[in-house]
Amino acid sequence: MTDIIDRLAFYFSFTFVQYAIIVGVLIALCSSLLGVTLVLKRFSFIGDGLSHVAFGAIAIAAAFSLTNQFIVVLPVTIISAILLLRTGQNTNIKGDAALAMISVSALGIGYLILNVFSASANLAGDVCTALFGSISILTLSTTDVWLSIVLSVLVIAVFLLFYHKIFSVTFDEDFSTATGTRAKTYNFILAIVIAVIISLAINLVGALLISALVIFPALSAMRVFRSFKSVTICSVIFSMVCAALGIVISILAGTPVGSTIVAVDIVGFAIFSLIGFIVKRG
Amino acid sequence: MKKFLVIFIAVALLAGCGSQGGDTEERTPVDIDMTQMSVTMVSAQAAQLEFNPTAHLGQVVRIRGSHYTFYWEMFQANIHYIVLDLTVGCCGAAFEFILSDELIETVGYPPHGAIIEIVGTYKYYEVANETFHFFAVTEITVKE
Amino acid sequence: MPQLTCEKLTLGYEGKTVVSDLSFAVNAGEYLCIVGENGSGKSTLMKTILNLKTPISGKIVTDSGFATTEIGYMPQQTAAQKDFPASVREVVRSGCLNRVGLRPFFTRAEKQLAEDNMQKLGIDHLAKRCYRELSGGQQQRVLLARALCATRKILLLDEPAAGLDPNATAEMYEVIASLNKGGTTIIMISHDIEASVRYASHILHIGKGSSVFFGTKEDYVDRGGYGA
Repeated sequence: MTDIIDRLAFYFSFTFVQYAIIVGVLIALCSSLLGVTLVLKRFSFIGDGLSHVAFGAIAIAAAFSLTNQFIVVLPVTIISAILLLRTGQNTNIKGDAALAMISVSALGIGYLILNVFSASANLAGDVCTALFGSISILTLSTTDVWLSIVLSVLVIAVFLLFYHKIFSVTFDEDFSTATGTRAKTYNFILAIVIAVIISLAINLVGALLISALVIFPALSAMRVFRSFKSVTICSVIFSMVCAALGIVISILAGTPVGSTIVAVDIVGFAIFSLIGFIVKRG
Repeated sequence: MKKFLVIFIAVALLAGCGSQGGDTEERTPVDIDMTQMSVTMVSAQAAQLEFNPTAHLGQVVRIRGSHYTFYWEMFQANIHYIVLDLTVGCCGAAFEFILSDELIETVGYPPHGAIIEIVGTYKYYEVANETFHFFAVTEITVKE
Repeated sequence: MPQLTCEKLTLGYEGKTVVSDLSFAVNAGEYLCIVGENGSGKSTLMKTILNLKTPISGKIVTDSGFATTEIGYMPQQTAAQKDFPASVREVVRSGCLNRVGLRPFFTRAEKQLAEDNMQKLGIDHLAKRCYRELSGGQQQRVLLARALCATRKILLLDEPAAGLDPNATAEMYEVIASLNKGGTTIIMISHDIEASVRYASHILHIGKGSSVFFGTKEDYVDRGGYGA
């Protein structure tokens, strides 16, 4: 046990590990906050679709040899999010198929662009990292860290300021609109926030695994807790702990960071489901 | 909270089983010992060395990898790389190294493809207006 | 002046006109039941009154006594809502949002209002319970309490007894009737013609093909209860 602690202490002496934990936990916090709303509005697949669009944006940024991909990824993801979440209710089949089309096109064309235009020496590696986030969280610059901190603080502030309205719009959009809450505005704000989080989260877990960060904490919390407030708080703590654990385990065991975080999330979900099942019976 | 602690300890113990313990043999102290890190950390550290080299100039690093050498026509010299075998970063990493004069006399460069462990200082040289980073090696051990 | 007047409303959705030239007025304290076959436009009418939909033509006039944000609305539940992790208290309090503006928290007065309304509807003992664990009748009462938090003046209800067993249905109608006696104007969509005739003061019957009846319930009954 002390061996592990020694090793961890050694690893934690590295700046890039400290950065990884800080940013990783912040990203996990923000994505789980939004996750509760997304899951309850039945928008989980939108998060998935948006992450594929973000991958496409990364491809375009790489094609233009941009060192800072964020400049392309963030605006593209925001615009897509606004377009997709415009309606607020996503029940018609046309909307569902349209999202699937956009999602898979971004993925396919993104890969095509990378293959044709990228000057990178290691294409497979770049693609793999963008999709699965193997070690990108461990290679952050100080600018990346500050950017993540600022954006996370903004996301948390928005959520706290508009908490009651977000609850109302999530629970019952019709009622909210009818009683004067501008649901469309809040959907708009939510869309932007989701896009920001996805752009950040690609660094942590890669485009294909972002959904896990959004969905698992919310679902796990809902297995056990019964008020929106407690579900949200639990979701946040769950997500932060799993992200931190995932990063720590991956650097100790030599596994890819993104997948390890997802694995920890899955285990956490299983545990919470079990707890929920026992509590309900008892 | 208790649940998380239990899980953490359980998983950490499992992870501990996989990783190596401390080495008992005498080793030259270095700033960064990449032979004592998990492959995730090695990938990350290699990426740092590659993309953020100025922060590491002058640091003494121990690396294990395989030796890759070829003759570069343009500079009419043999170039030597130590290639790291990385599975996690979705890519390999390679760093050029140059043996100290003393080592060239005593030991010489190992054969192409040998598994080696080097201790070197991170430096750079400039050729034709381009900067190349390399390790100035003071210790080399051939493992296989 | 009537509390709510609809003048020559033409409504439709997805390109179809469903109701044309609909005119009626509701005075304060009245109890209007909107009845008619499925698809005749009842929900569309209610959503139009609530500004959730725009009419094809015509207009809606409210007296200066209240803004459209002071309308209490009890929509039909969605499947997603029945499974929502929220405490009863959280749901009811969300009814107060129309007074909150940009403030990110509820005042003590608003919280008290929520408690009062829960008590009025006999659900205060359920305040901490999870919404999705409640029975259908209890959930409907929570939604009604929420609507009351938005207003005292006028309540719009969309099939408040949908999916309830006969006992719960009767209770629901009694509660609504007592609210009406307390001065709240009620506009309710209902499938239950018998209950409508019993409790309402006025009936608006929207039939297929734009046959519309609007008048007191006595008139409605006299005419043989249109298509009942």
